[in-house]
Amino acid sequence: MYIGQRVKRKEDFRLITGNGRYIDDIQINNVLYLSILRSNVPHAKVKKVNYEDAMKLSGVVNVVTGLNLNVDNRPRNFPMGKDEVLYVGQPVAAVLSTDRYVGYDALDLITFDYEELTPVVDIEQAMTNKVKAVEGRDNLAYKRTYRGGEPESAYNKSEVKLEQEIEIGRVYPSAMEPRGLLVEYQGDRLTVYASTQSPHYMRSFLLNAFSDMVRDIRVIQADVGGAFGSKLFPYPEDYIAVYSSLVTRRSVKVVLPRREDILSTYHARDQKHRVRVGANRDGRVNAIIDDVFIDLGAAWHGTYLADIAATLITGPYDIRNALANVFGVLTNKVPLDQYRGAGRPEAAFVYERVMDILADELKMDPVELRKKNVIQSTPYVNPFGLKYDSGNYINLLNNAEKFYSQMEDRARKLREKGKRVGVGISFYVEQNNFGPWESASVRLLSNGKIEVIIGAAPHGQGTGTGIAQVVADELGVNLDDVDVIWGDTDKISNAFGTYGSRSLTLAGNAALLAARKLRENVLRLAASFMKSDVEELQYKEGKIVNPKSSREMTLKEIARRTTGDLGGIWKYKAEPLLEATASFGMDNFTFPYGSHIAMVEVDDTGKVTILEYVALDDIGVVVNPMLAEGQVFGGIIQGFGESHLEEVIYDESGNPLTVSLGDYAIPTAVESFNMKWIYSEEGKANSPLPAKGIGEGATIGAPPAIIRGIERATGKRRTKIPLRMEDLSPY
Amino acid sequence: MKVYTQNDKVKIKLKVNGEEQEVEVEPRRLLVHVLRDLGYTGVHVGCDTSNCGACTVILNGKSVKSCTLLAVEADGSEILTIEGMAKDGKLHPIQEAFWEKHGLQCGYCTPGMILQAYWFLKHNQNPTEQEIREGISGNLCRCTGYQNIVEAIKLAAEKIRQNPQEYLRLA
Repeated sequence: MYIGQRVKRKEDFRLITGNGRYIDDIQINNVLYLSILRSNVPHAKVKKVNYEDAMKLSGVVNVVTGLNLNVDNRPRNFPMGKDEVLYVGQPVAAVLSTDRYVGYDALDLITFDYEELTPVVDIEQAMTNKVKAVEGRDNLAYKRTYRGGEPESAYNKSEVKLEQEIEIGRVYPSAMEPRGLLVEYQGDRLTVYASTQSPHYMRSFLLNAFSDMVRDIRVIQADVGGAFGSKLFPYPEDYIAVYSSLVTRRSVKVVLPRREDILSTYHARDQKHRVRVGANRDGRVNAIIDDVFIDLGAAWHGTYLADIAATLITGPYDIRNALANVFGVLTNKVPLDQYRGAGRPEAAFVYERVMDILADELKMDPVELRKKNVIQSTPYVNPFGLKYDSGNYINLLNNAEKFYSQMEDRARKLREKGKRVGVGISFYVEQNNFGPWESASVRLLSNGKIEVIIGAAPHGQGTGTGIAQVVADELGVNLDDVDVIWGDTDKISNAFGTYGSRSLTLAGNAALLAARKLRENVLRLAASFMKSDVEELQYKEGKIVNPKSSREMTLKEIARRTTGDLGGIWKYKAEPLLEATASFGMDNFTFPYGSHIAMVEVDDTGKVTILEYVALDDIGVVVNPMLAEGQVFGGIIQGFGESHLEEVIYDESGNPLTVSLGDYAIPTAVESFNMKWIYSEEGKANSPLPAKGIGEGATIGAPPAIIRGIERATGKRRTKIPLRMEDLSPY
Repeated sequence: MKVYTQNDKVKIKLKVNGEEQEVEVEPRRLLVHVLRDLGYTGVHVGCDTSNCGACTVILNGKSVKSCTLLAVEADGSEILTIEGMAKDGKLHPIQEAFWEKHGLQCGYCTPGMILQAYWFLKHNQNPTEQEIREGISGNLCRCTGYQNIVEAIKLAAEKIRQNPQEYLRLA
């Protein structure tokens, strides 16, 4: 069995030898480079773009301005600011040149005349609606109410009432590879190489926009240098590059410098919650009422992030009465979208802050309070109708408590020595496997090896190795004989990609089902070759065996027999079909759950050091613990960054202040720390391969545990992330 | 000091992974772009402010961020990139260790990280964990959380200690 083993990754050899092919590594003859002039004002009416001087520069082939397309949930001035610019970083003009240095020279020769408009810079200002972030639009772009039980009366009748404002800052996903696209012009069709999480989705949104200009677009996912949710939804540059290729009839490459990536890759989180909680004096929570505000920036696409946060606001707790009012507002900032966790970290930060603050108010132990409220059995339907599928929440919380108590003991001793040390625990439930389904094909190649094509589009998670383990087990073949490939719309017809911790569950199950179908095909073929009835044959470890005659054929022999002879006539009794395709989806999401425990020291400068860290997760069957652990480790450090180091900051005039990786500080190896991961497999998914997904869990569990640790270390109530050094120094 | 004007093209010589290369470059062209144009695309660009280290190469025995040097400044130098780490198809112990310890996910920071580890281990074959963390603090990784990278460098140090002359002779 390969499932459950820490198998080394099949993806790595290329990457450790410099043979990865990221977008900028792919060369095409005669390519034009696209460079983009971006708005340097947060909000203005655009009068005129002056690019005549740029056109005179040797090496400049064309300048594109004023491109507007009707794309769902995007402002009228998309992908370019034509008569209005809405944020610093929005594209205004694009230069096509034969050399990228020349392209940037040309940008210096382009100006645009504008009339400045007052920018909307935060949620409060947006809610007054006096100044509009987008001309002609109400700032309140989205309002939605979710209700379950009797929240108002349950709250009013409660013995203890708590009101709290909680803020989650704006972050930038910071994939190490900036975004990029290479459009290969082929006359009536295009091949687009992209740093994307979903080639199929990209093909569909590009064809929606340009079907009158091009017959078809093949999208190939290049190696992707990290994404974390930020390379899924359409970007202005995608449309500008494709449009530029079609109008110049040339191949076009765009790769963003980091500064531009920070000014244009969709930011994330940026929510404010005004939460009211009603409880009994013994700690039992009766009601939660939450006003959720989300700063959408200059487009109304990210509303679903607030919906996810709202509908999970009761967390892993049995709170029967709940109300969430969602307000999505427009501001003159980079549009908001998903980042690892997408709504679940926001929810968890709120419900876990509530648990800790309530425990402090009631002078209860925070774990005791959680135990009093934790869901007792699964399946469980939360007040908004989400059905948590499986698991033993109490058991996991009890296990977590052991680590928490041990860390508490050690922290106490450090505090006695005068150190500012505290321990925080978080407990969370996650909604996973956003569908609707995924596809996979499994092929027996002529050389007897197995090729698996998945519709998911992994980019660092190691899903290819995980799914190879699943298929190798199912077919009883050696792992070395299974290759998994993905990321090309010509290789598999319909697919969705990698996002929402879905790939191993949805693509993995699709591959499992396709492998089973392939086995059936192969059995029928073998029956005809071995002159047996299918019913007589057995499939055993990559061989087809007839127990009566002891005759057997290997997969390789069947492949040879089917494909080895050229010419002749059709002499098969069964169709010589050496491949099978399957689709897999589920009628519910999966709901993994877990707990993080952090021991935190805060020094007098306000610097946070994590002294010990343990994460516990129940994600159903763990196919490759090494890979799952890698996801958890990476996610924890991202959660740490979001808690202490990272924040996209705008000044009061709407100018971004964090425009480099020097200003926007993702953790280095020095601030990072060692972690321990413990998994259980009690809460299985309702699928043939009962894995639930672990891509995002750690970004959900980490911030509330770390912030609680800081709160305990500094003795002051904490209600926002990030907590920066200046917030934490006693001086 | 040489003064170049914008339209000058300058002929420079580089020895990259033991191969002589002669190219004509604009004086403003960054070393990283010249290396990439020569086909050493394992040298990555991750930022424009010297923060990320994805472009790290070894130049005349020193670890440098090749986005922060003009190609003309590197004239006459010997450079090691990730493409020169494996010899005759055999991986360098640092590459092996990154694979073994799951020290990479998306792989984008990996070439720079491996070269930085090489330079670091050349100077310290018995590092403490804290020394390793400080030694790679100029190289950012967004995927792994660094723990497995640190473990990989510890393992690589062990392997290298067995035969330092062999494993540290590259540059």
